[in-house]
Amino acid sequence: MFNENNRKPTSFEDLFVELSKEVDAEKTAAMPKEDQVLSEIARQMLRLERDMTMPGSATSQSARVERLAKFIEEEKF
Amino acid sequence: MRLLSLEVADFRAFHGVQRVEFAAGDDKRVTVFHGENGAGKTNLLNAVHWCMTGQFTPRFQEKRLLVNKGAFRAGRRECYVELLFQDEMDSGGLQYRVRRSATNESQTGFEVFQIDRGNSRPIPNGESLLRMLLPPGLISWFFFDAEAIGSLELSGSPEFKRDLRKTLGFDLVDTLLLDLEAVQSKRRREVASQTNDKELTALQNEMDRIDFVLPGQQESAAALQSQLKQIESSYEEVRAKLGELPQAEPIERQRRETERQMLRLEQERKELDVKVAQLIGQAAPALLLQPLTAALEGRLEQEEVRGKLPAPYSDQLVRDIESSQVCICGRPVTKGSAEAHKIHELLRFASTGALNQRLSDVRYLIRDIERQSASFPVDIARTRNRIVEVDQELGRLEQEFKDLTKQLNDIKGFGGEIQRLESERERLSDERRNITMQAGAMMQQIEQNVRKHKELKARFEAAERKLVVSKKLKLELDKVTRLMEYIRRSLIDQERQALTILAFELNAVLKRYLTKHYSAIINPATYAVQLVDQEGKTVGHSTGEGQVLKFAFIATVVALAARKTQQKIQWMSEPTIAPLVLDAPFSALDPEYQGSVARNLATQTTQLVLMISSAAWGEKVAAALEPVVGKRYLIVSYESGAQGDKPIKRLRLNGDDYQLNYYGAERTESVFVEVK
Repeated sequence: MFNENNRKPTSFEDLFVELSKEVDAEKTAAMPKEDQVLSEIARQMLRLERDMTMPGSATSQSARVERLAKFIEEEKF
Repeated sequence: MRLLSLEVADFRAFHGVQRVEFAAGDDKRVTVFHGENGAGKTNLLNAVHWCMTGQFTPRFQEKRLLVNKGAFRAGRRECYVELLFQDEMDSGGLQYRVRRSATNESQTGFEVFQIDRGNSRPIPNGESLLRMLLPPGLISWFFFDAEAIGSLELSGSPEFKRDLRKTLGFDLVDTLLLDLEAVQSKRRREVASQTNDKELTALQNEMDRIDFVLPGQQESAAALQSQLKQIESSYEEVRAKLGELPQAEPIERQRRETERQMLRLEQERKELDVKVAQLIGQAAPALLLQPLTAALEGRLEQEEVRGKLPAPYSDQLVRDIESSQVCICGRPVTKGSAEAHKIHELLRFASTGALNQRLSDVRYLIRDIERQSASFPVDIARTRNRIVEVDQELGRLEQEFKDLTKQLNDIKGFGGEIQRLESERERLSDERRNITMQAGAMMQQIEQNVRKHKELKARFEAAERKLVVSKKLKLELDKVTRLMEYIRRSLIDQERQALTILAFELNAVLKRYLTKHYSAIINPATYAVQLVDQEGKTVGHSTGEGQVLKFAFIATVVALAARKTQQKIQWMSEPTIAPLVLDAPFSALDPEYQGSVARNLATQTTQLVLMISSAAWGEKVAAALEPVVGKRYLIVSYESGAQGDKPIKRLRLNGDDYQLNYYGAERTESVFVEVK
């Protein structure tokens, strides 16, 4: 599974990434409808949280809470 | 990131300015520093650690004496460490220079520069950049003091689990969940204010109070745990020093054995207490029900004797008579007649399959209650007898421990060293007890607050359901709750997946390198790592194989931290690629495994920096590492005092002899000497 020499990805590895993306897409499609929606929103929120906690541009917890609350409010689910 | 060079000036054992370069190629990725005990290997590890984090490793002593003593005597009051490193090529391959300086009293400077075509540009928020490249939670894995490998806990302590979660990359989703809890609280407060309900407001206020104190309590608990770890490390060090003194060694060895037995018995004592509570808990319903079951069984038998339970005829017989319209005595049974009605009535008491099953279940239950009631006195007496035996044995061992301690204190000579170490051991032991109690009390408070918060939340939700709240607000609260439930649910799956990958990788390493067929299992709840043999029996962490497990675990964690996104685990944060810097590895290892562990470390890491004594640089280690060593230094120590009966240490490398220590020098210091 690991490339022992830490070489850059080979074309085989690129292929594995592609395959793994397809497997992920299939997994998502197999989820109940509500979980599919929640999964996508959770993914976006995680990205938002990452941006807000990134060293160098970290925001306070109260600012994060306001931003997350607004994000959830804007999403329909 | 890859380390390129290190410059130290008057830092600890290193007098003046000294510079070393690290091997940073893909093939030649290993840098080795050869040095004897006391030469400065731990100082070197801490130079890198401190420069990157501003902190030292737990075993680093006398943190207030950073400036080299010779330099201090010469009037110099400041030391510095400067590291040059390069980001991974995939992330831009930028070069950075970090410089941290300090006096013995405090840090005096910290600067991070980005190097662009030879020009240095200062970075305003350097600490943030370093935290991003090497998150604080991961540092203890990457810059590892392998002398302390014996105390590396794989037993699933909360601290170990917290660190490993960070390494696996779950810290971001943990922060998100905490923030979502705050969003939930915000929405609940809005509900309380909109309804103007006193009960809701009071409940929310109470939850807010817990939310306010809990992070502080958790921080205190973590600080106490870290303090405890440091005390334990110092305690072990004092014990090791005692064990090195020839006259103290046999007594200390015996005392360690006594202590080991005491620990085992104390553990058994705890388990027995739990067993007593379990036995009482399990048997209590049976004991309460036993008089009732006796009466019930009497009644069942009575009805059986009367032929009523179960009825001597089945429901099928009644239905056959009704369908054939002929009684078993041969008389006709006309539909609608009084006889037909009477026969149909028999169905009420007929024996059916379901009824027979229920009777059989009741009888089984009665037997079970009787069995539990009968076995309880025997089991509880046996357990309590064992408790008495354990207590007696513990008392005997405690006395033995005291006697051995007295024997140690009575040894004369060594300039009072034994007594000094003993007094230090006792002080550390008292401190450890004290901190353990404080940590226990703090954990209890945290548990109480968490439990109370849960109860308050449930009460809030129950009260809120009864009130008329605006549809919009209700929807918002419901959205946050559903999101949190979903994230928590899928987090469990993803954690399991990550641990499966970790166990898989770890077992692949063990399979390659262990001569015995052992494998590692990871407890998904506590993250405890256990080595088991082919029959599934636990293998102790103190065995030779247990030590290999620890080295294999560190290398696997570091490798996984670097490659985690490739494993397609949704909640994990970005990968961390950093060198593994190990102080004095292999000395704790069985010689049989030293070569294979060295090979594994070199294979699993992008860059490896090893600080190693001549004793640990055996043939197998050399054979495993020589092909990948790109840079090599000796840490030569110079003593200002006379040699006396102290030995000269030598190291043989690729056919050449090198001297590692000198006496009668101008000053006491350590010097890096490159071996080409």
